[in-house]
Amino acid sequence: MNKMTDMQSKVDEAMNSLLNIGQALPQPFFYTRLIARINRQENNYWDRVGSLISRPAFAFITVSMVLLLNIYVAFNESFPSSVSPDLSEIATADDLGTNTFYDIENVQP
Amino acid sequence: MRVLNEWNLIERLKKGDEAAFKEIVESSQGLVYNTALGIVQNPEDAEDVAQEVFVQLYESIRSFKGESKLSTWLYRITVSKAMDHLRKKKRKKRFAYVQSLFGVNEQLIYDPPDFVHPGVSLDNKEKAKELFKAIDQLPPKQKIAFTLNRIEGLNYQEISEIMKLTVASVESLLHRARKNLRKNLETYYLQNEK
Repeated sequence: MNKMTDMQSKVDEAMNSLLNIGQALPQPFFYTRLIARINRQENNYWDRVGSLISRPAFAFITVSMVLLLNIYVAFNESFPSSVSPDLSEIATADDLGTNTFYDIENVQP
Repeated sequence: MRVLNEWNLIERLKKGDEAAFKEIVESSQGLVYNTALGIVQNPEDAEDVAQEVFVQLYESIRSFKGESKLSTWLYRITVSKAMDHLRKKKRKKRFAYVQSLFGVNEQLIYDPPDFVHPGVSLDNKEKAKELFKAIDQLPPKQKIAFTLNRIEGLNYQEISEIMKLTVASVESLLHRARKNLRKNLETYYLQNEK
């Protein structure tokens, strides 16, 4: 029983240890360090490109564009245009039935 | 009067006035740093997070529409940056551990053993160390609510505005946080007794 009470009082003490806690402040010259960081970032081209690319909006737009492109291509493939000539018509017109020079030179009577 | 001054500063900052930026940084650096320190529990990391917060303020002040107070906006950015920082640190640690298994990088990332908040009074330091260990094990939302309440001294209404929750949800979060902290502390004391 005593052990339990002892444990509870330890827990209570720990829970109350943050009462009247003071505010922590950064090291002096925080503003100077901050301005140096902003200037460093403004001067670094690749950092700016990196931060632009790593934005969720950029990833969303890129993925959407790829998906739209895919949908566009898939849609066009499944409905070929009606004006495209038939393959057999092309083959006849260009005499593609003749395979080799042998066929041309040894025409059967 | 204070609200008018805040609006004036924001408008000046939107026009690129560096003096306004300096005034905002100097008046709110304590708020940002203290909150970040409570969450990341490391002075160097807290400084890094505080700088990131003000860089974001500088870059995106034009998108600030004034629907909430500037301090509420700053708290929101701080909490989000601090949690991102913790996630990145955890990821780095895991990656370093995997690398060490393959012998690529023998150095592991270690956390400093015990964090002591500089605002804690001397006679409470030992107890606060144990409490901070327990806070570090809380789920993210409970950790944020508890830090804002106990370390920044914000009331339920202010926390609900920062976390975009109802006051009842904040009350429930804090109740669960306290319960979990007691459980974590009991486990810690039991382990240390053995």
